[in-house]
Amino acid sequence: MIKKPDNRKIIAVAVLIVALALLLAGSIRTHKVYESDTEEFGLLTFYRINEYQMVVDATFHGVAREDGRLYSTYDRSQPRGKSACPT
Amino acid sequence: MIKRRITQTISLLLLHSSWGPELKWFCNPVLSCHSCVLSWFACPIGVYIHYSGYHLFPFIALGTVLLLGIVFGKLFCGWVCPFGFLQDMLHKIPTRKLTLPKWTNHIKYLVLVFLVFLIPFFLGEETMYSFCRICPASALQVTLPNLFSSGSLVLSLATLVKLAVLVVVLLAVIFSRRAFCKVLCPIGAILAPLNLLSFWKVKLPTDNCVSCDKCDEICPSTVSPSSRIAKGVASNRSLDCMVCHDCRTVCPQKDK
Repeated sequence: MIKKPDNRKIIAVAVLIVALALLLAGSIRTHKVYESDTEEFGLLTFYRINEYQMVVDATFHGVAREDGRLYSTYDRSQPRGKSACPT
Repeated sequence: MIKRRITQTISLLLLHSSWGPELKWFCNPVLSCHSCVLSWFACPIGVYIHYSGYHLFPFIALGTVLLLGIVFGKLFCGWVCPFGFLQDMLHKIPTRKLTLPKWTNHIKYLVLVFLVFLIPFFLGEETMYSFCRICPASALQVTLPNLFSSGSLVLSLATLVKLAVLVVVLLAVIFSRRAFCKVLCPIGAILAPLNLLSFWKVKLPTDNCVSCDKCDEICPSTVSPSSRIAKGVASNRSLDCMVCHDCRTVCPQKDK
């Protein structure tokens, strides 16, 4: 238990800075998500999505991991409505 | 307390209304199924489970929860969480009330480590052993509606387990207030240490406390706020306090 308020405030500010740093890092991060079952010239095609889109995909199994790569489970070239429940 | 009930009711309606926006990139630190089409926001636990399966670090999801947690502590648990609201209402059913042993409060940390991070990391995000597969909020928001809409009476083992957990949790909270929050909730496990550090303080008159113990009697988390008040510490500085402010509401000295 933290007894000294000074230590508590210092640690709280440190956690706040870490949280903001995580948000900043997430804002600039991108992910390579491959299209499943499509190839061009023998190479897999992929999309680059930002972290926000990855969070959305994580809520409805929009991405799956296979052989160390991330694959999209839906056609990203088509507009998507509200996601359906996978469970 | 009335303000809290109003806030909880508004939260329940707004967070689960399909006529709202879909802001699923934002992880609201409450237990609301991340895949429910009615939800405006994402459940951080579902996102962590998927990220663990993807072998990715959840920068945005973790940053959001840390930010809200360090600012507000477990305020969202007491004022916003719809599943917490359900527990509060069920506990009003007049029955004999029980107090769970203190050691059960540590189970949620094991749930967080194993069912949210480690098991999905090793077995994949779709593993049957993740927290999502036993989440009672998901059972209420997703599994039961899907069962009713499909009209099928054939239940898989996974569905049976999920519904069994839901029944046990709902029964437990009738007898022990906020039993799920104290024992199993992984969001509570993440926010609990932040309660000790958060900028949010429940201000109670620590100098002229008359030791009436009304705060202890009203406390839904049974975390003895009077013990901290006696030491001149804010009453929400406890791992399991859900910052409901009921202790402040009943304090006879707060306006003196």
